[in-house]
Amino acid sequence: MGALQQFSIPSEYDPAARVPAVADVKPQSVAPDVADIDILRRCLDGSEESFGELVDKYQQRAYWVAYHVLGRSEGARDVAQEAFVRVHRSLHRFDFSRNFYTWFYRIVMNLAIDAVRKKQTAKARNLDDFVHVLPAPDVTSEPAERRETQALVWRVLDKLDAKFRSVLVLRDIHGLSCREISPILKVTHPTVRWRLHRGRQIFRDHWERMTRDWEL
Amino acid sequence: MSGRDAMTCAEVRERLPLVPGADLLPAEDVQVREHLRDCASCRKELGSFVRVRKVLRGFGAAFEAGQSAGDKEFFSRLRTDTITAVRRDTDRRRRQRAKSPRRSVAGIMTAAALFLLGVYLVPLLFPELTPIPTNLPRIEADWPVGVIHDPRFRNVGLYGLMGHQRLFPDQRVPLGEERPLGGKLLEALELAPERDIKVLRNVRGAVSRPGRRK
Repeated sequence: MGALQQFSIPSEYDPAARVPAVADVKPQSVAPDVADIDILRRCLDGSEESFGELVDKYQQRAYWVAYHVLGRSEGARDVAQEAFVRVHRSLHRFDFSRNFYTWFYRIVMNLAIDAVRKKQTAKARNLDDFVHVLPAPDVTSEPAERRETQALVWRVLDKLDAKFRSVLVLRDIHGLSCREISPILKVTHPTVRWRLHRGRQIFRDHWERMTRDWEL
Repeated sequence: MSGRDAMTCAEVRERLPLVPGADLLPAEDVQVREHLRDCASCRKELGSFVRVRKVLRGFGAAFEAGQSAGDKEFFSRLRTDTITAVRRDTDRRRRQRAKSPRRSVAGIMTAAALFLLGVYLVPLLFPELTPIPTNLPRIEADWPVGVIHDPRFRNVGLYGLMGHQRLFPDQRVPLGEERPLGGKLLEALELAPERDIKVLRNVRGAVSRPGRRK
């Protein structure tokens, strides 16, 4: 164990410091959120106020997921908005024994991936474009180094195929587990893991190449 | 070392992308951990994946953490737009539902009209497309030269004779020969009694007679 302690990797990534192994095998978050169910039932009864609550709760997540998949603010706005329209339209078909956010994420991801495939706008962008599309104006006041890093991440993400990019966005950027991603993308757990594996490899290769070029 | 076979460097490197974030399966995880404890080169390789994941985690956190006034305004506007879009969609669907019974009736009537048109017009306009009647009445007729030039005869002639025996404008059907014909021809023959066509009626009153005339 002494050798592992010299290992200059944060404990978060240290395999020895991980949560009990069984947690990975059992599906996580299978129980539906009671608060969500309550809101959804009120929405089904026609309460617009409750739908507003739902929007408040999930709007930002929807926007950011779409933004990280699409890489542009305008498209992410449209996706987030359309996702709620679809939720409202098909709420009567929602299975209350399932998690709402899984269903919602699936809608958001489908819309976002469709938008990427249709418009092909997820091109490598330069720093100015990147700053321009951000919704929060004070992001430009971030340290220049961080902005450069973010611009590089965008450029690398843009090089990734939508299927790898979507898994990386959900797992590494938004912190969902592979078990949670599987129903969202409607693929099996091994497929999620394989895409994550391949996505990280591709990302790492591009990242190293680009940071090397950047430094030169 | 446990009872399991230890993993080789190649096997471990194959699994390294899933080590950050603890995405390996539990059984693999134990073996990879054991290997990493003793293998500096694999640990170095793992470092690149760890750095990349850290960059991605930081990338997401940078966007979501900062809730500036601009962010709040942006999301507040997005909320208003979303609620408006949902309301508009609901109204639109309500209007559609109100229209839908009228639309269904109109659709059914259009379909019926098209069907009837098809049934009556297609045999007239495209006689060669109409299916051949399987149980045709038989007719014995003396078909004079030129009679087929009559448009009525040509149309119905094709209809009645298609697939069996085709009559050409100058073709003469000898008296006494049997031809399987459709009802339309028989009708047409009756429409032109002035023509020199002899039709033998069968006992049931149809303009046909089963069997060869003796």
